[in-house]
Amino acid sequence: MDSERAVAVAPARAARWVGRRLLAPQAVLAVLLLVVLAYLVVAPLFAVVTTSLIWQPADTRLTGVDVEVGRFTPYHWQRVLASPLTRNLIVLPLLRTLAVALGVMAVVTVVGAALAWLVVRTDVAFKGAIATLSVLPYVLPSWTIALAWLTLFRNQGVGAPRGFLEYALGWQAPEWLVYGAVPIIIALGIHYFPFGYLFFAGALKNLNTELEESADVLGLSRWRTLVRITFPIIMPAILSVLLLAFARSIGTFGTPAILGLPVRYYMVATQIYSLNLTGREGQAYVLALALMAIASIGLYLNFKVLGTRKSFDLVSGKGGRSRIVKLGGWRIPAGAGTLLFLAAVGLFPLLLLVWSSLMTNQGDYSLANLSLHHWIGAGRPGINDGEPGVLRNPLNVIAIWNSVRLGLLAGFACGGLGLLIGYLVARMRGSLTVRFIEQVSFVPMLVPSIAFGAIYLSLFGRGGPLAPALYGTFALLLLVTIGKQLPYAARAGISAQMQVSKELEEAASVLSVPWHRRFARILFPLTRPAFLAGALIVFITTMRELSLYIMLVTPRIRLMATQAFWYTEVGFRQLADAFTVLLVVVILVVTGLVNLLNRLSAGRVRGAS
Amino acid sequence: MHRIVPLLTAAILAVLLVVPSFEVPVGAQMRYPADVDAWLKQAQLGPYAPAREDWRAVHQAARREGKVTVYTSSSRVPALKQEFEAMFPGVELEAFQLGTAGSIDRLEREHRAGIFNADVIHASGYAAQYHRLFRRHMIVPYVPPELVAVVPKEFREPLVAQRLEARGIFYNTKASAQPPITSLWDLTKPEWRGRLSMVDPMVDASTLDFITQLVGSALPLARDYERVFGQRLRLTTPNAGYELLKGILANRPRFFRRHGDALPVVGDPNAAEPRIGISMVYSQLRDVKDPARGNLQAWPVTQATPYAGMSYPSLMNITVRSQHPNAAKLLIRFFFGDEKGGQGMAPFMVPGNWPARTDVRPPDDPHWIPYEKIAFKIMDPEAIWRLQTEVQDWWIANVR
Repeated sequence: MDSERAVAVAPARAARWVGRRLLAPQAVLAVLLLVVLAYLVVAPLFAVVTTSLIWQPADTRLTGVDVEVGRFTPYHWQRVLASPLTRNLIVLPLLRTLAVALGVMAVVTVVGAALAWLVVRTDVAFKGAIATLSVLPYVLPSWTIALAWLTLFRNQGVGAPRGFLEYALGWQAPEWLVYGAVPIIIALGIHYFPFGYLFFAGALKNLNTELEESADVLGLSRWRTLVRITFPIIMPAILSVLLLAFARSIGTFGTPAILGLPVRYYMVATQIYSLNLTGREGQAYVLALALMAIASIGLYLNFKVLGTRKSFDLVSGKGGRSRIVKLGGWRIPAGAGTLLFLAAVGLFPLLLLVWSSLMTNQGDYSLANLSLHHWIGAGRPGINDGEPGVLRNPLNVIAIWNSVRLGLLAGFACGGLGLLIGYLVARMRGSLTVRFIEQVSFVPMLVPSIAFGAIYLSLFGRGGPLAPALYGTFALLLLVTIGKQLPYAARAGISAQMQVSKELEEAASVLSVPWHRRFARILFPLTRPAFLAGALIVFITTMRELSLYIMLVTPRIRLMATQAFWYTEVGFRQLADAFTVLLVVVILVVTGLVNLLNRLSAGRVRGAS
Repeated sequence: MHRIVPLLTAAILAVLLVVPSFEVPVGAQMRYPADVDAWLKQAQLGPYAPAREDWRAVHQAARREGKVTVYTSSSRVPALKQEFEAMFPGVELEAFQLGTAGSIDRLEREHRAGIFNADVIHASGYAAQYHRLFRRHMIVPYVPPELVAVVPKEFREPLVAQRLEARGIFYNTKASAQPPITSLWDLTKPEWRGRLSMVDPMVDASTLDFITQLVGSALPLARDYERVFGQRLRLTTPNAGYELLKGILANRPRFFRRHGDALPVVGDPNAAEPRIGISMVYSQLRDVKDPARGNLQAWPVTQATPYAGMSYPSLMNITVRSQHPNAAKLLIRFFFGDEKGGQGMAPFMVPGNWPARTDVRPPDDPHWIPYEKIAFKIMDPEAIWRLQTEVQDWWIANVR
């Protein structure tokens, strides 16, 4: 209120002066971000578009058309959009992809919001355990959830080996519950609801409860308060979650491959993967561009919703912290029920993995068959070609370090960039440059990982005037990771910065506090939860990512994901499972340490103020 | 303001459309370009390969080069590192396991970007390697001169093969005592509805080769149809190959991403009904009945008309402009192995793989099936190269 009064009483010239002081660093920032994004995002996008418009070397096999590699051609677009293939290549997969995405968005929003509300705004029992378990499904590789689903539901009735439910109860699940849209939506929903939880929890933590308290005083019911006040307030977070859930579910390949392929439920990601694999990059990139076009419609709607509202300004210079809803007699049942649900969707797949990693012989479920051989056993000839247990292989330690280093560095870089992008978007809303930045920062999510890696290989492989030769270096892995994972952190940064009121910064600005100190002392501490959420999501995603690096890694830079891939390819199922468990443990430990550090430094800040 | 964003996007797209592309067209002439020729001369490869190789000198030169990098489709190569380095001290073996499509794709992209990282490519995909790599002077064949006598010509020219691999039809031996089919057309009979499993040709390049070869075998398939059903085949598709695929699809097979995912379904030791797997990999024979891998009960159908499976060579050739050509020669020699099937051949002396060398004794393994005992069709790389797009298009348009 102080700053409002200051602005109101000051002469017009002073107001303009304030405006200039505020704008100058933002303009510089905008230019810097434009350069970074041009480098990391626009160049790859450009390559996607050109690839779809020129003949590729593999096209030379085509008969009946005049192919000259490198020349312009509308062929790939025409094949995808106007040929006998159109229906099955793009129309049907697109409709299915949209249906699945809608389903996943619903699951992610509802489950994420419910969990966040319980943890942040109520006195539910077992809060710590709920908060920890809420993130677990995202830490697990998504295919583990799909496989756990099959382990439970597959049966002889659908032509598969017996699953647990048929084995234990004699019940044969119908086909639609084993394969196809329903299990894909459920598996992806389980995998991605932690996004919803993290974003909503961040948003709820950040907003003060004055408005809700006013509603309370005015006699609004709790439900109406939630619907009329809380939801609109956290709208930027909701939209971010919807966008992320949408983009992730349209781009994922693993889960639809396991649960969709058996019944020919092809989605766009399947088609892109397939076309890329069979030397039809041109057509694959047309499909990728179609996905991007659809996502930009989503982004546009996002602007429409946010653009018509003047401001959120929820984190202001005054007001108390959150009000806690007392659940009374429901405190323990609600907590226990939530824990049970989380255990079923998060712990159960993990336990299946652990169990499988302990089975000396695959498929033998007797207790006598359990051993630590695949963990700590020395190589024995006759078992898995003499491969030693995962903890016995010194190269695995290198892989762990490389992955952690890559994930954390990328996490911090993306988290920081995300906050800056969010700051610009929030402060200069409506400006064309900023819209461009927001839109562009979202693009990498829609470029298929394998294509993104391939593009970086061609850009940085040999080097050039603008791109140094980075082939085979860690720096290239880091760059490609930052480029690809930026959208997550950008969304987290945008939804956080949208909540921060301008008045805080203006007040500091009037007091002639320079921009970098305003950012470091005021904005960053307020948006740190979002920074951490963004950084951790990037870290976790990076740890598991494989296809992004398949074109770029060298044996010297071994990563956990490439090692797990190798175990899987060789058919060392138990070793692969053990290594996946190890991956989950590493992620949990690092995440825990980061959170611990955060809490310690938060304590220090609070102590100082 | 809102109007400007789509306009701007359209403008950018327009710029992207107008700005010309940046690829250098590749000529179709088979004569070596001067720079490739200079490299071949210096590396003593291609037309300059000596008639007798002084292996001690090659090893000395390889030591100076220090290492050899191989892109391989096989998970079994990284484990060879120690033996290779013990055999050729001072030469490091660096293996990238990238799969067949990945190896070819990466080598091609690197060459186009001017990176010469790989020295040897060790993968199948004959058609793609021949047209995309060999004809564009990205790889060159090399056979140690002393082995020319024991490696048949088709495994030396135009590209060098280490061994044959194969794909075929597997059945569940617990549910069927005898092979349940004698003709590929049996797969279209109604009794197999819901009992077929198949690796999905949409996500597995080798299975796409498999179905493409079926279309390439339209004539023998048409003749076999008459023998099986006693009447002429009435075509509803372009030819008998497509007709067979259509019949298989009508039986609604289950599709899997990898053959490793399909085998447990086909060989399920608890299966009550017969099951069949299509485009299964013969080297999976070594997984069968292994308790550590789930005691799977599966075996290939070895006799069927017009054929029971397809074999294809797995190649190994040297990268043009390799920085380590002598080390690459050592690796090729190592991969050929000795008469006992040892050295670099050892991990591939398994059931379902057959060495290119004719002087190698087969291993003593109950799962080993002699090559001649299986009714194989050798894949025709030309037909596959020519037909693959058409077959894939047909598949996309007809599978739903």
